[in-house]
Amino acid sequence: MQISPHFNKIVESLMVEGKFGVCNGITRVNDVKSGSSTLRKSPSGDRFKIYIPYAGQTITWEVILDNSCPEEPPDFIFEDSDFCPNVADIKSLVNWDIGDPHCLTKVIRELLEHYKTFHERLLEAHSRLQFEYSSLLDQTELSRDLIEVYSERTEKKIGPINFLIKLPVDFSDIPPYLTKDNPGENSAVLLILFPSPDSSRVTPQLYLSPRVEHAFGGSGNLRIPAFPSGGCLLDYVPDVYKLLQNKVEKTVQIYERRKELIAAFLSHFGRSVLEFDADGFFDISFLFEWNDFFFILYIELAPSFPQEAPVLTFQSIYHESKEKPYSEVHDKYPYSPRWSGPEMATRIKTYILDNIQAFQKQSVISGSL
Amino acid sequence: MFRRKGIKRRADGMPISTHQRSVVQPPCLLSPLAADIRVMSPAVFLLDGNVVSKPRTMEAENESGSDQENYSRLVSSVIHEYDIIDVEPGARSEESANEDVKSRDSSQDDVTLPRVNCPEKIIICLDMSSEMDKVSFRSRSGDKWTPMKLVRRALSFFLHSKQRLNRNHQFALVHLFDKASWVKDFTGNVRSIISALDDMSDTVELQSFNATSLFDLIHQCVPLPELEGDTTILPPPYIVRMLFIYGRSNGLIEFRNKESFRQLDSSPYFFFDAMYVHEPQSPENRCEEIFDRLCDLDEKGMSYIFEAARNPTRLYDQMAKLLAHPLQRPLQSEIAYRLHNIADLTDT
Repeated sequence: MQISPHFNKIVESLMVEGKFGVCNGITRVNDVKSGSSTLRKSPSGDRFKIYIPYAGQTITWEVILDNSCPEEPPDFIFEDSDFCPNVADIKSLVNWDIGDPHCLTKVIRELLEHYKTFHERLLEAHSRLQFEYSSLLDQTELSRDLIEVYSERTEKKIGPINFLIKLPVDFSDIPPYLTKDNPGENSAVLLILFPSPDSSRVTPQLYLSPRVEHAFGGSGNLRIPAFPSGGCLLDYVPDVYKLLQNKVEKTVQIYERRKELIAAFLSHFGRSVLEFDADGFFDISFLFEWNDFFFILYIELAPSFPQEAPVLTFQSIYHESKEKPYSEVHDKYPYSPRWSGPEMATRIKTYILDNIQAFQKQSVISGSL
Repeated sequence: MFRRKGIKRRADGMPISTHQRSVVQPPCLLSPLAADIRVMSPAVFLLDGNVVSKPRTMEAENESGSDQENYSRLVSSVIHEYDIIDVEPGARSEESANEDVKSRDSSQDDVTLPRVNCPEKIIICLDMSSEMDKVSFRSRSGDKWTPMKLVRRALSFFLHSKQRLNRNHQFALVHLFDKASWVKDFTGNVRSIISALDDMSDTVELQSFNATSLFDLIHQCVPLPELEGDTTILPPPYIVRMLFIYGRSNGLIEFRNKESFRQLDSSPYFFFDAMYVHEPQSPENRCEEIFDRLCDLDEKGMSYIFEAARNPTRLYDQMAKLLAHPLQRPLQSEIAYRLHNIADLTDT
């Protein structure tokens, strides 16, 4: 079923601009139905469900408009029956103006604010959770707009309880991520689950935005500590924040070192280059000629560079061994991580010159023509 | 030694280097392979600092080429420019490799491309004329090979090396008979291409080659990436490169309808490289003419066009040069592979 033309603009605005909360997640619209009892030919959908990411959950609200009276403000059905804000408190609902394409977006935004407050109040009945929440607000740099809480409630008990926290890490220096799909803003978000108000088995999960994950070399590359039993968010969250901030600094530093080394090699040997990694600067390869003997040199940097020396691989273009081009790996040679990029490149060049003859001889002996 | 007309449409008036090059003769160490090696086409740089255009030349077939060898030794003592010479501000700098490459050729000035090692789709276009099966390559020790045997082996090295450089490169195989025909579609599986090369059908006696059919086929079958976003920064999802391997010393390349070629060549993500294997050039064959015709296909000035005759080592060398990524490699006129100690050059 399609949305009635009366409501196209406001629904579109919600889908495009409706990025709410800590995660800035987009709002989805689905399950469009019509309130009218008669079948019509033209699109007449005037009730639909919206799905909003909040505190690690997806909340579902039903929006009910009226195709026959489009100027009337919507009714809402919240899946959480305890959440029942006073309509008079929702200013944008009171001032509903169907002519404003953003009117629905504004209402949802306001409702979410109330919803957030509703969940914050739920914590007050549980001293431990209340302490966790208020201590984060009072004693760390985190502000209220960076934290979302959600409590799952059944008849008998409360739990799990989610704390979603956006960590204010400075990502401004991380390497660019060139892709035509907009990788979005950089962010790191911590989701902490309390199974019950007094449980000690608290589970943290860290979510990184695509560009940050790319800079760290993939999601597996960052480990956060387990939540210590008996610990509290007040200590834990700043620890994770510091860990992240350090990781960013370190990543930026080693990225710059790799870039410096690749640039130094290009400056020495740019005219012999075959390929190089122009994204992370992890490798570069050359075709060299020494006394009419041509060979390929691959230079590869590990993620632990500069601690670990670049790995050099000499490869023959004439001789094979075991159905592949004959090659030799050299990873132990005079090296210091304290050398600058240009110095490393010069020394590696000397090493190459010192070892070509032996490589040539060996390739002739070991390989087949 | 014969020379052909210079590369078309090179950048005007943009000096590559304005400094003197001292031609120093280093102590020459002859490697075991040296005697087999025909002299390299020298990288000749004019000293007047103006437009430096290295013409693509075929090397003369000269058994006793001692003059040739001396000349090459002299010229090849010209070392890597970067070792002792200040780089022109307009030339490749030490800075971020992410920066745009300044337009390397004025004919490419519509799009400046990022110097990124995106995946390549390489189409190997292999000549199936029977000349490829005629023995014409010899080593000093007396071993003989057909061009096809050497090319297949060199391609095997090429494929393994290219895959090592980037696992995402893909390769396809096209056979050139009277018309071009597709043999193997793009695959990253190097072994399957090598098998296809091993299991080839027989070569056939062929005369001139119909280039239109080849470009028609490629234009029809290979989509080129659209230009999206900021093309000076955003890497394309892949680029397409033709590796045209031709082995006829008398069969001219006929190219009547250039429509498909123009369409392909108008994309900045399309590249044409060639490897020409042939008999030693003589008045009885048309090698020079064919080579010139091949060079004419390099309308953008971005191609690598190589040739080899008689000398198997040279064939391997040239095929290795073709490994270079079109978006990152220097222009053919600027390539220089020789390694030298700086110390060797300072004592005159």
